[in-house]
Amino acid sequence: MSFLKLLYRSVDKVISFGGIISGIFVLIATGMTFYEVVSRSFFNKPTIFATELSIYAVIGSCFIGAGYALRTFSHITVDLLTNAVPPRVQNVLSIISNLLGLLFSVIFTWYGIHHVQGTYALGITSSSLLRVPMYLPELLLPIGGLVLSLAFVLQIIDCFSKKGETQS
Amino acid sequence: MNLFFLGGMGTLLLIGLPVAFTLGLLCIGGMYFFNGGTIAFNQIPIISYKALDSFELTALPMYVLMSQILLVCGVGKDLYEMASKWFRHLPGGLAIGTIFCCAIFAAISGSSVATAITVGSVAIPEMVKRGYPKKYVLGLVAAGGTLGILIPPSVPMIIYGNITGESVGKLFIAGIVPGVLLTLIFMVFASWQARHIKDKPATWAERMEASKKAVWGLILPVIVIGGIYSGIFTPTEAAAVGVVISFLIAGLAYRNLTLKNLKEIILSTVQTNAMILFIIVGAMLLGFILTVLRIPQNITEAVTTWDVSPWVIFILINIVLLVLGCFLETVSIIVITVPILYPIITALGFDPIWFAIIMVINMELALITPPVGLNLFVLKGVDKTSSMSEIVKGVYPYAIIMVLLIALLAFFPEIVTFMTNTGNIK
Repeated sequence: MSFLKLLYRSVDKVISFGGIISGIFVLIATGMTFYEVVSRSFFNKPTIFATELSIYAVIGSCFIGAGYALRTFSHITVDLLTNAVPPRVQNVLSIISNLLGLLFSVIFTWYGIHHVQGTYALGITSSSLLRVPMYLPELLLPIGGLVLSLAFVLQIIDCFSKKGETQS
Repeated sequence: MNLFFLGGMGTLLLIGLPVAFTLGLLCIGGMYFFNGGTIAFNQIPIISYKALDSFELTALPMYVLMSQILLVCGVGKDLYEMASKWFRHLPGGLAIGTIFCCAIFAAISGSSVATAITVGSVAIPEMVKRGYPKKYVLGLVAAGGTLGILIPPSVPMIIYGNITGESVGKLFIAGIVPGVLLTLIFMVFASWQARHIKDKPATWAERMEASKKAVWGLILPVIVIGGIYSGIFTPTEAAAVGVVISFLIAGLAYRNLTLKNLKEIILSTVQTNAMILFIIVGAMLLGFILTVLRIPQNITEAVTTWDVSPWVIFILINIVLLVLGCFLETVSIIVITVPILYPIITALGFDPIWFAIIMVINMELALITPPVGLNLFVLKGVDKTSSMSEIVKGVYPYAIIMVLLIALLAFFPEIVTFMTNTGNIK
C-alpha cells in the first residue's frame, strides 16, 4: 500500500515538475525574443536562432505543462451539468470524462512516438540555418502526452478516493 | 455525420471533459469512423505540432506572463489610486475612475479575467465604502474588465490571427478606436447611473503624487501599443519587451519580485498558457478532420448561395455567437467557429479585420452573459459576499451597450478600419 502511495506521490511530483519546466520554456522564449529585439535594433545583428528556438519553447510549454494544468483544474470545462447533479453522479461523470481524456492522451502519445521514430530514422532537420534535427522538438509531444496520460490516471485515482470533490 | 460532431461535442462537454480534449477526441472519433480508421491517426502528431508552429503564437504566453507579473506586483492599486484622485469630484466619479483603470490595465494585459481581478480587487471595496450601490459596482467591474480583450494586446485577437492568417498587429491596432469608444460610453453610463454621488476634489498636489506613483503602469501601454503601431516591434517582440519591463517594474519599482511571487507568477502563467494552447491544438485537430470531410466548405456554400442580404447572415452569425457565448468561454468559441465563419465572411465581401473586432465585442458579451460568463465568476471570487443574480442585474445594461456598439460598427466600419490603414504595422 505504501509503495502505491509513494508511486502516486512521485508521479504527482513529475507532473508538477512538468509545470515548472513549462514555465521555464515560457521564460526562455521571452528571453530569446527580447535578445533578438536588442541585438537587431541596437547592434543591427539579427540572430538566426531566436525565432526558431522560441517557437520550440512555446510548443514545449504547451505539451509539457498540459498535465500540470489538468491536475490544477485549469483546463476550461463546461460545468453546467456537473455542478447541477448530486456529488455521487458528479464523481461518476468525472471518472467517465477522465477515462475519455486518458483515451485521447494515450492515442496522442502512441502516435506521437511513432511519428518521432519516423523523423529520427529519416534524419529530417529544420529547413532553417540551424538545421535542428526535427525529432528533438517533436519529442516534446509524446513526452507531454505521457505526462498528461499520467495526470489523467491520477485524476481517476482521486475520483475513486473521493479527493476529486475538492476541485474548485 | 454532422450529428456525430454536434452531438458528440455537446455530450463530451456536458459530462465535464475539458474543451481541449473534447475537440481532440472528436477528431479521433471522426478519423476512426469516417476517414479510414486508425491509419488516419498518424496525422495527429503532425497537425498538433503544426498548430503551434507559428511565431505569431509565441506572443500568447508572453502576454499571459506579463499580465500575471503586473497582477502580482500591485500596479493595479496605484492605477486605481490615481484614477480616483483625478475623477472623484465628478458625478459618479469613482465609477468613471474604475472604468478608466480597466481601460489602462486592458492596454497592458491581453486578458479580461486579469483585468477584472486586478481592478475589481481594489475598486469594489473602495466604491462600496464610499456608498456606491453594490449592484452597480459589480456590474461596472464585470463589464469594464471585458475591455481587456478589445483594447490591445488581446489574446483572442492573437488566436484569430493565427487561425486566419490575418496580421495580429493590424488586429491589435483595429481594436484601439472601438476600445476607447466603448470605454467612453461605459464612463458616461456609469457616471449617469451613480450621478448623485460626488466626492470633494483632490488637490493638484495629491493628483500629481498619485500619478507619479502610477507612472510605471502608464508607461507599458505606450511602449507596447506605440511600438506595434509605429512598426518598431512585431506584436511578439512587443510582448517580450513588455515582459522584461514588467519584471523590472516589479523588481525595481515595487520591490516585490520575491522567489515566492516569481513561482506564483510562473505557475499561474503555465496553467493559463497550457490551457489556451491545448485548446488551439484540439481545434486544429478537429478543424482538420472537418475540412477533410468538407463540412465547413458545405456550410459556406449553403450560406453564400442563400438568397438573402449579407447583413441578414451577419446578424444571424452574431446571434449564434451570442448564444454560444452563454455556454462557452471565449477562446473555445473562437477556435471552434472562426474556421467556419471566416470563409463565409470573406465570401460575402466583409472585411475580415472589421469582423474580428465585431467578434471580439461579441466575446466580451460572452464573458458577462450567464450562465457561463467567466467575468461573473471571477467577480464572485473577488467579492465572496456577492451573489450571482446581483452581478447579473448590475451588468446587463452594459451588455445592451455592447450590442449597440456592434450595430454602430456595422453601420460605420470606418471606425475600425481607419487606424489600420494609417500606421506602419508589421
